Amino acid sequence: MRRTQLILFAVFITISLILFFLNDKSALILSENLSSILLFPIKVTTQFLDYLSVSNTRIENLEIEINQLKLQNAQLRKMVPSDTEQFKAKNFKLIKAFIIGRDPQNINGYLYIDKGQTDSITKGQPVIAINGLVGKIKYAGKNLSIVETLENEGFAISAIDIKTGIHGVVKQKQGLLFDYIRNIDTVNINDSILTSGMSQIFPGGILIGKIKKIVKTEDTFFKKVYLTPAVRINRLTSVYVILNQKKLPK
Amino acid sequence: MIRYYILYFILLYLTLPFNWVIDFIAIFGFFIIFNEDEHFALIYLFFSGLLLDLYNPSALGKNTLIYTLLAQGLIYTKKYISHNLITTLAAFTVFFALKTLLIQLTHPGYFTILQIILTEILFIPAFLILNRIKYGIWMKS
Repeated sequence: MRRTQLILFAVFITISLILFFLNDKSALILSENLSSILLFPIKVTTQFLDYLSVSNTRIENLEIEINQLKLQNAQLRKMVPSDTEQFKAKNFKLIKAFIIGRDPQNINGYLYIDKGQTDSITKGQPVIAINGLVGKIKYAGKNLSIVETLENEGFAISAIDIKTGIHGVVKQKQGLLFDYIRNIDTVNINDSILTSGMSQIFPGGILIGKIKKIVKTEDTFFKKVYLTPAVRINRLTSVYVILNQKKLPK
Repeated sequence: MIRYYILYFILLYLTLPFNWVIDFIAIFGFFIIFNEDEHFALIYLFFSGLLLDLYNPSALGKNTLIYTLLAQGLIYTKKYISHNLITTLAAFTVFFALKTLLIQLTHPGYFTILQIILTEILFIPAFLILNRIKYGIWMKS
C-alpha cells in the first residue's frame, strides 16, 4: 500500500467513524447542512420534474375537483373542526411537542421539535398549533424531529375555500398563495381556507389562513390569491403532532 | 481522464434516487476500482457512501465507512483477480455480498431481495457498457 493511499484511507476512515458516532442532534444538523450542498443537483432535478408533473395534470385535477365541489363542500361544512381543541374532541390522537430549534438559513421553514420516533412520530405526520396548520414532519429522529412548515418554499397542500367551496393548492410562493384558482371562480377577501382532506397526509378541516389579497394577472386561466396564515410560525413555542389521521374508537 | 471522472460523478447523481431498486453505485464503484486510479477510486467510493448517507439519513457515516473499507480491501486484492467475465462476476458477487451483509448488520431491512437480484443481473451488462465507453471494447482481457 502506497503512503498517500494509506493516508487517504486513514483520513476517510476517521471521518466515517466520527460521522458514525455523532449524536442524533449533531448528525441531524450536519446532514441538513451537507445535504443542501451535496444533494443540490438532485433537489433541483426533483423539483423541476415535480413542477412538470403538476403542470401537466393540474387542469385535469381541477376539473375533477370542481365536479366534486358541491358534494364535498356540503360534507366539509358539517365536519370541519377549526382548532386544536376540536381536533381533540374528534378523537384525533395528538402529542404536544416543544420547539427546540430553527433552521438558521430558513428560520420559519423548518422547526426542530423535542419529540421523535420514541414518541411514535414518523415522517409525514401533520403538525398543527392552536390556531391552525403548521406543517408536516419532514424527518423523525430518535428523540427529535424536523417539521417542514407551510412557510417553506416548495411546501404545497390541497385546500378548500370553506365559504365558496373552491378547491386549490396552497403553497409558499413569495407569500402564502392559494393557487390554481380560475379567473371565473369566486373567492372573497377574509374567506377561510382549510385543508381539503384530499391527501394522504392532512385530514380535512384544518385552518390554513384567510384570504387577504386577490390579484388578477396576465395568466389566461388563473388568478393569484394570497393568504394571511392562521398561525404565526415565528411566535410558536409549541406545536401538536397528529399521530393518527383516522379517528380512534371511543 | 478528467472527462471520465466527471462522467462517473454524473452517473452517481443520476442513479442515486434509484439506488434502492438497483445498486448502481456498487457497480460503478467496482468498475472504478478495477479501471481507474486508486486514489480516485477511494475518493469516489467515500463520496458515494456520503451521498447515500445523506440521501437516506438513517445513520450518518454507515455507508461511508463500509464503502471505504470495501474499496481499500478490493484495491489491495484486485491484482489477484484476472480479467474475464466469470471471475469479474464472482468478485463482484463477493464484494456486493460483503457490502450487503455489513449494511444489513448495521441497519436491518435496508436491502430487499429484489434489489440484490436486479443488481446481480444487471452487473454484467452495466460493466460491459462501462468498458465499451471507456476502452471501446466490451471486455478487457
